[in-house]
Amino acid sequence: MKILLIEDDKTLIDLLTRTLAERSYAVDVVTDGEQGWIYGSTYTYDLILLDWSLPKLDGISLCQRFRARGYNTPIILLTSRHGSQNKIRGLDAGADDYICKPFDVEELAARIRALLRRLNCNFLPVLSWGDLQLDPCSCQVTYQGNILSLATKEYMLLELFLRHRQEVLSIEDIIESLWTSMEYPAEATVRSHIRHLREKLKSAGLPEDIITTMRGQGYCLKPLPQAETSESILASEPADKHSKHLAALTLIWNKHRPKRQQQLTTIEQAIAALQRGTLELSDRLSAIVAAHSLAGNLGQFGLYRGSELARELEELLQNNPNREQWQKLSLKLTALNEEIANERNISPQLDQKLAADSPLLLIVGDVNSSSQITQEAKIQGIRTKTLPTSETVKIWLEQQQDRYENLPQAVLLTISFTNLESDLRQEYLALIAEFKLLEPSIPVIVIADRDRFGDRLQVARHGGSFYLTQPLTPSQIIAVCQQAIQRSSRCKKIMIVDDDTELLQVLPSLLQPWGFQLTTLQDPRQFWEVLQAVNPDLILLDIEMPHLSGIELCKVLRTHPYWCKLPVLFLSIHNDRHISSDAFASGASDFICKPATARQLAHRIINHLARST
Amino acid sequence: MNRRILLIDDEETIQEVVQVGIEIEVGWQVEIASSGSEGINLAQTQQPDAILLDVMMPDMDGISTLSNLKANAKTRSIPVIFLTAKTQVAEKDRLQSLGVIDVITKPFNSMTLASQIARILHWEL
Repeated sequence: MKILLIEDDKTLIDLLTRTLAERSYAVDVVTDGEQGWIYGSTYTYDLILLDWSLPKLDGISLCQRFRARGYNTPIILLTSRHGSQNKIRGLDAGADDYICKPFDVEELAARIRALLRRLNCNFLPVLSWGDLQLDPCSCQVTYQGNILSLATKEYMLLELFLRHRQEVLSIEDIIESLWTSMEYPAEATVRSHIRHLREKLKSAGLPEDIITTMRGQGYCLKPLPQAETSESILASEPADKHSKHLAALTLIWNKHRPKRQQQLTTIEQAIAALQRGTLELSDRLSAIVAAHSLAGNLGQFGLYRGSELARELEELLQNNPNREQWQKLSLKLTALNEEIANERNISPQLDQKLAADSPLLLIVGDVNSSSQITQEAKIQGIRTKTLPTSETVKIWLEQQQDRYENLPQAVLLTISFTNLESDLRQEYLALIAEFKLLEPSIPVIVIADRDRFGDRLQVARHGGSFYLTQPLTPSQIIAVCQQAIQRSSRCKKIMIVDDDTELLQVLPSLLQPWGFQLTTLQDPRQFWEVLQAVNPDLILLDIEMPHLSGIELCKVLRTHPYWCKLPVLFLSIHNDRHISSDAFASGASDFICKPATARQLAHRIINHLARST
Repeated sequence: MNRRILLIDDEETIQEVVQVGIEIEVGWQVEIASSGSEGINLAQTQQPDAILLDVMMPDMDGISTLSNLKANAKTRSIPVIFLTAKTQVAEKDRLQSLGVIDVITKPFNSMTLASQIARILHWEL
């Protein structure tokens, strides 16, 4: 692991270089901010230790510069300034951690370990490969409990491999990671260290060479042999955790294909018996169990439509269907069969489906605390993308070419009103407006470093959804983001009941930019059935329709405990006060006169959806 | 920290999805029981850090299994999280009132399941 120390106090430099070297870190030292910038932006470091007060360029400005230019190397700020205001300033400038002088070197070492653990997504304090364990805290390596005596570079090499498992490390990567930038070891030197490490591991009793030589590419850590049970699931060893996970799910999906087929046959046989009028209770129960199992399992693989169909079959079968219903069951089973047959090759879709499952949060500006926010978001099932500047956001937005399925559901924007130059501040404010003007608009949550009415006004004027002020914990931030995401219209199910064929044909394309899932229904007599199948988030009802009026349908909805709170918006060509008061008396949430523009309609829908969540 | 989770679910597919999800993502150990009675025995002998319990199972369902676990001094304090396909709020509230820590609805995202459990139980990842 390689650390850049930017510090001008000679005593502290001596102490830290000694302490860090003892812990097997390679350390580059520079004594002013400008040098710090040159080194930090030229070489790759695992971590930067940065003093606040430095000649030429102070630590805070340097930190901001790193972050503004998109460098996300973890930074620990060292300073003699106590007090939470200073800490907040340091963290807001882009530091990941903050330690006050005088500090205990052990505490600093522990913070370095914690930060590296977090950023490597390797949360275990001890690194291991089977019974081989490396403890970065004591710098001790053991195999089956026996201590191995490794030279510093051998230890560093092993740590590097353990931290970068499944990555191929070239000789250059290794040199860059383990030697300071003032040292230029020959490739043969690196190879010789690797050879020594291999020999020591072998003599310690490891059954196999854990390092693989990839000819012409470098070296990598061999995957750990899996226990027999999981081996069948994890037969192949893909590149990273994510693809490993997907591969495992694909294997499970394929493994259970015969079982799914059997379950479909069971349901099919029950339906055939129902058609003949010979459905026995035991066969119906077996079909219910099969449908229940399918409903649960298909959703697990992202086949939500299939899961829904299986659940509908389960419900129909539970209600002891009569002979006339066989066709309805049969149609659902055919649809289910098709859904499953379409997914014979599930792996490419699975990734997309699982990803599409979770909303995307775009984090702009404050890259320093984004790793914690990302972690918290992940816990809440939210994906994140971090972009350092408004410029990079614009480029990224252009790359998405307005495909709204690629756009985020919310944007988290950190604005330092205290430190930012006014033109940069304007750029950020313009960015808020840009997201607001998108169709559908994307909510922007602003995190500011001060609470002034003028700033709030600016953010509100530009269309910001939330204005929060520091200090905030990642979980507080994500809670607000969730609120904003839930308000968003994407994938909300809207059911439209109207006998006007033309309107039903044109509405889906008009409302398409808002990302609603629309279900249209022309015949109100099918209302109840479609309602239960769709389970909408909101209903648009025409007032006058043949057979049943919208007002009657609304009254029916309000008598049901589950549907009584569902937002119902009436669409009517009559701008008549009596009709609208009848509609509201029946339980309407809103009354909109035709013709309404798609935008007006969408905004009314969004408002009602926001209130109902 | 290496946690041990006991999953009580009769569905083999769910067993495997939970197992790979948790083991790949966070490396915790997952013990499997395919029925309520097997789960009660394993909970007593293995003393897992938490139990994931399916609600709908043949023979002994999740709710009876839970009351058995809560009636036994050896297993009473093990936190239990229900896994259920029923997603209506009222059903979730009802399950929660039975003394489980929380309810996770199926289908769940196997990639974030462990994080979800950690959050519910205030475990550090």
